[in-house]
Amino acid sequence: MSVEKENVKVSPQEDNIIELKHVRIGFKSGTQMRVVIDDLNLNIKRGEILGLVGESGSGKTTIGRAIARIIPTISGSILYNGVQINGKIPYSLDRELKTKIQMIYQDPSASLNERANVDYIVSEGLRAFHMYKNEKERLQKVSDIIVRVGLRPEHLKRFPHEFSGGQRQRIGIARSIVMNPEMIIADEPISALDVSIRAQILNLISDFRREKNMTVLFIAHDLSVVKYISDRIAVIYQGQIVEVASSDHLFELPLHPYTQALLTAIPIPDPHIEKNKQVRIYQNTTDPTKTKLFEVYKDHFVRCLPEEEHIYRSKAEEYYKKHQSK
Amino acid sequence: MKKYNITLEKINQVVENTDKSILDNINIDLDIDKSLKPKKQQEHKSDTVLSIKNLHVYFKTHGHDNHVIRGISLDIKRGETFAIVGESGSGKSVFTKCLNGMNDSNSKIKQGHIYLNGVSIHDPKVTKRLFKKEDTRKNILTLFKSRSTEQVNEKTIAEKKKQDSKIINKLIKEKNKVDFDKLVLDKQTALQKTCDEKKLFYDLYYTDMINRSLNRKSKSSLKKQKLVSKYSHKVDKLMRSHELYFGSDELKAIITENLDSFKHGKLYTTLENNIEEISAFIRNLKTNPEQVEKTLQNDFKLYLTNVQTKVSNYNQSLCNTPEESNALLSDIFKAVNESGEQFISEDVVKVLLNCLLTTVKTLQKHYKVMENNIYTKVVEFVTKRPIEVERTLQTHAKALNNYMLLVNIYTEYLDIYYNVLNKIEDYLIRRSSNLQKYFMSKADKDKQENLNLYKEFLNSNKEVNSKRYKEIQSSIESLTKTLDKQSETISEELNKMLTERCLQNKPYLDTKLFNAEERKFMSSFTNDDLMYILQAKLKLIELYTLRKKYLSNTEQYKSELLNSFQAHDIERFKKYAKVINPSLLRYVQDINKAQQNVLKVNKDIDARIKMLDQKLPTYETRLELLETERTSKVSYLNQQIEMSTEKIIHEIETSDISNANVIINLDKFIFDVKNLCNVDVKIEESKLVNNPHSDDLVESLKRRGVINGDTVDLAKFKTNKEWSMIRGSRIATIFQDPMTSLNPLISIGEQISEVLRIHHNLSKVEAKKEALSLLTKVKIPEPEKRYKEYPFQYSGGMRQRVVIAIALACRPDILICDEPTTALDVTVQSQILDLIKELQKDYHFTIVFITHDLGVVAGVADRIGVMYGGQIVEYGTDEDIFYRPLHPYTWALLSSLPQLAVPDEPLTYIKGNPPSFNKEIQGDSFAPRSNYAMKIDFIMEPEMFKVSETHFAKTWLLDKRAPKVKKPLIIRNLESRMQETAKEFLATQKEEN
Repeated sequence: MSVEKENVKVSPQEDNIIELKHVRIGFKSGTQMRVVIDDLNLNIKRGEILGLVGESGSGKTTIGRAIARIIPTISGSILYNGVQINGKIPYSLDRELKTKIQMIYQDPSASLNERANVDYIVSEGLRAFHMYKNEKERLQKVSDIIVRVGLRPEHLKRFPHEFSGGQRQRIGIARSIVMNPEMIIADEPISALDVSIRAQILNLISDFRREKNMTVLFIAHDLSVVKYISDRIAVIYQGQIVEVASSDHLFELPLHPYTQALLTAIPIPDPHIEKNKQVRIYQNTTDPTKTKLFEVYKDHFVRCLPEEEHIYRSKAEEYYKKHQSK
Repeated sequence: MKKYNITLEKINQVVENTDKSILDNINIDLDIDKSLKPKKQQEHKSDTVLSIKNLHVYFKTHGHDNHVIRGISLDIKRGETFAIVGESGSGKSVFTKCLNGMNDSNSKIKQGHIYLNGVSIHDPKVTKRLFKKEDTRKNILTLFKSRSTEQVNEKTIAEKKKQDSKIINKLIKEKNKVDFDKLVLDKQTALQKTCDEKKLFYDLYYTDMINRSLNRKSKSSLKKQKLVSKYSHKVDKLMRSHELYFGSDELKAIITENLDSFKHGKLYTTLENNIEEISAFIRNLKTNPEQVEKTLQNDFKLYLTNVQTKVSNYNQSLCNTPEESNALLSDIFKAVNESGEQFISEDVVKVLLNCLLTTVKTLQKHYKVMENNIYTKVVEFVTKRPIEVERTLQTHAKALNNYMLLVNIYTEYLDIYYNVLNKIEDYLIRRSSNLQKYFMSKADKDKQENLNLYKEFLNSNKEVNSKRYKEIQSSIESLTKTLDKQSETISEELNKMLTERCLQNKPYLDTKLFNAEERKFMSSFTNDDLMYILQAKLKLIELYTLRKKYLSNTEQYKSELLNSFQAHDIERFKKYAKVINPSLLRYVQDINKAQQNVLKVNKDIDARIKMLDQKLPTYETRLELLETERTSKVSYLNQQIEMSTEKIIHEIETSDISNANVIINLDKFIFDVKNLCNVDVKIEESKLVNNPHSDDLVESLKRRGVINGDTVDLAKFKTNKEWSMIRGSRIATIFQDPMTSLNPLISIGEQISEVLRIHHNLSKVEAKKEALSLLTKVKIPEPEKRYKEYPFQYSGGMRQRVVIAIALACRPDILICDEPTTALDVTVQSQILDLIKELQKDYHFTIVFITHDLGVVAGVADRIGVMYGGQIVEYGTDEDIFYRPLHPYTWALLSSLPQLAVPDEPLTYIKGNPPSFNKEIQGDSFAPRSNYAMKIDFIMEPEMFKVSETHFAKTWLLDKRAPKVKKPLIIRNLESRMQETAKEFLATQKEEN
């Protein structure tokens, strides 16, 4: 049974916080419209961390931005708690969404206002939506979150350039979490950071998720990072979801060749293995219009030609039987 | 099939023949394995490319020195990949920027050395210049080109291919085997031709290279001779100048030489003016009487007439009242006194004397009148009163007195005259002193000249002076004569007068007309008269004495003048001596210096000769290099040919005749071989063809001790010019951000070919060809189309590929990769890493790889150095670091990798921040963040402990006294974790395998 049909039939599922249906996004270049994402279907469950993995240019960030209403869609619908949030929506809903869906950006050095101190940066959203009764409460909120994020209250009066990359990213996280959002779109929050700091930021995000029961769309290109943090992983290739599965199962049973290629690209900290391994480069040979996303097993989707479905299905069933028996 | 075999045999024969001929010429064994596939491990042991010794780098910020690199010692071997791993802020980038001289201006290498081994460096600009001069080489190349270009031209090739394919298709259709065989034969003869051409080219090229190096040798010897001759000439010149200065005759010659220039100088004109002034003065003195007569006669006449009228008035007034006449006389004297300063000459005196004479005459007349008056008065007195007579006589006496006064005044005039003379003398003296100053201030040569001139001047002065003395003497003599005459005449006249009067009075006295009293009075009167005359006589005597005095004075003055002149001369000469002596000393010193210089120059020449001698072996080595290169090239060619021939055989054997690709492949292969050799030779050649002899920069660096044989100390490089010899051509760098390291305004192709054109002097067409081949080498699809595009049209990975292509354009010895993949995707990252590895196999460069991700390192590095706080904390082979890490920092780095993370457990991370370099770090720099820090870690810096031949770590945990520590969980189960991760990520691959 295809995912599309399922989604269409049981549309406002309670456990799905975000539903993308036949979403089509493109950019105008001159008179031509360049379609980046075509007919994309994806569900994000409440309270989960969904890792969105793909190479640069595949459209990961575009999806994230479309959910955050930064980029308009051409067609299709994005549902938030069963309410359409793309296209023309009432002003009140727009304002509500702005508090409920927050973003963490990739480059901590470029995404912070260099002229504003940390206090202003963190409390800008609070000011915009009057989310505090008085000045005292605002300061309390801001200092609480800044301490929670691992900085000290005296840092509030400093400016972004006085912080290191990891600390800047903490500020970026603080300013999105202070709004108490339901969902966070983390757009490659760790790719510009050192390895040792990466671990800190990842821990921070997973802690917050647990604490506030937030939903996180974690966009990254590195599968190793995503594997650690996310519950489910969606692999995207050239604007199309290629494979969706829970993170454990995806790593153990990568069905789509592109997923397999991505897995080989992860550097393994073992010189013997790393030097002998062969990196696969996936090149799409099939016509993308002919392929469809099939549910091969429960919660495991693979995009393939209808003829190939049975191969994947048999593989998956074999694997899951083994897994259950273990 | 037989036919093919025959042709192939022929090809093989040709190839073998070329081999043998080349081998015979070179006498070096061909070893394809060694030349083309150098075994890494053999080279590892053999040499180190970079050896860094105790490097300390400081950054100056806000007047404070930050000790950023704190003593790094490393050896990086040729052909290996050395990875430096550490957090941001640990100083990895600073360290690597020291290697290519790209550190910020506020940084300074305070201590330590960076030795770059096995490199002969040169100024790239010099090669460019040399290239233009080299005509013979070009001729050869053009000779070769003219043949090859026909086929090199790609369009023609494409056309040919088409034609060939058409023909082949036709043949296949017709199944005309014979024609097909012919075609194949043609193609293979073409291949043979190319092989011949190659051989010819190599022969020509290498013989030319050898010839040129021999030429250079001869040129250098010529240069040597030239140098020697040049310096000897210099020395001769110096010596000659030295002789010139001290030889009297030559000195004169110099003076005469310089006289013309001197004449035009200011000094000469002023001197001339002075001399003219003096001479004019002298001339005035000579012509003074005439000029004065002329100029002053009118005034004087007026004055005289005035005086005369006054005298006449006086005479008249004498008649009237003697007191008035007295007043008049005094007036006249006053006038004379006042005008005395103006009119000082003999004539004035003469006139005055005349005037006096006239007055005397008038006095005489008056006297007569007086006598008459007296007579009448006497008669009257006789008749009336004798007292009145007495009064008249008294007035007479007064008049005489006044006359004496006049004489006095005359003498005063003489005094004034002498004063004037004195003034003239003073003036002369002043002039001379001025002249002296002039002489003092002038240069020594001028001084000599001045001295002569001055002597002449003095001589002329002496003459003038003597003339003047004579004049003065004559004037004085004439004056004395006139005085004598006048005094005589006056005395005679007075005597006469008196005698006459006496005689005249006698009758009166004798007459008995007077009574006794009257007689008495009369006698007394005569007595008084006589007394008066006596007084006058006395006065005259005084006059004589005065004259005598003057004479003596003049003599005295004369002697004094002479003495003074002599004294002046002596003083002046003394002064000159004072001035000249130091200058002489200076000259002597100069000469000494010159001699020392000569010695130095001699030493220099010796050193240069030595250098030249030393360079001769480098020529030989270069020749050897050329030869080895040639052999490798030839062997490569042969290998290619063999391979291709095998392929062809294989294809022909396996496939039908209908396989048209065989022939096309053959064509392509011929083209490829030509292309490959063309550019490769050129690039290698541009590295070899440089001439170190004309390279001043390298010379100076050698003198400074920066270059020592084959090793270069990069730590002592200072200017960009010096770095430009290393950067790019020897050490190339790939930076983290490919966008910022490419120029957004210039197309990609231009940016690559620019490097080739500057560094290797390739023409635009050649550079483009090479750039395209580089683009294909870094696996950029459709290089022809991509060549013209701009950086913004490239994706991140592509940009990084372009940057790599640019870095490889100069075939560097060392490639520094400064976090080349941090801005890239995982997939692209793995591709780029693979590409770098692949290129390393082709180009045999050494890689210094910098990253913060230990995962990336595992696949790339042969050896790994972990860097923290400006120090290498642990280093060893990849196995050492990954399987047996020893430093707590390495543990922390490894355990923070998400790949190794234990599921459902928080990721371990390193607490705190890397140390700031503001304060001097005490003890182990990692101690504050380490979970395993001991007390000693905060006090003393640990030494580098040697664990094995390859493995070193800098931690106190390795000390014998240190307690045994429980390593973190991930490190303890490191190998099992690694295998698990490998299983996780590579499950599918293993399945397939």
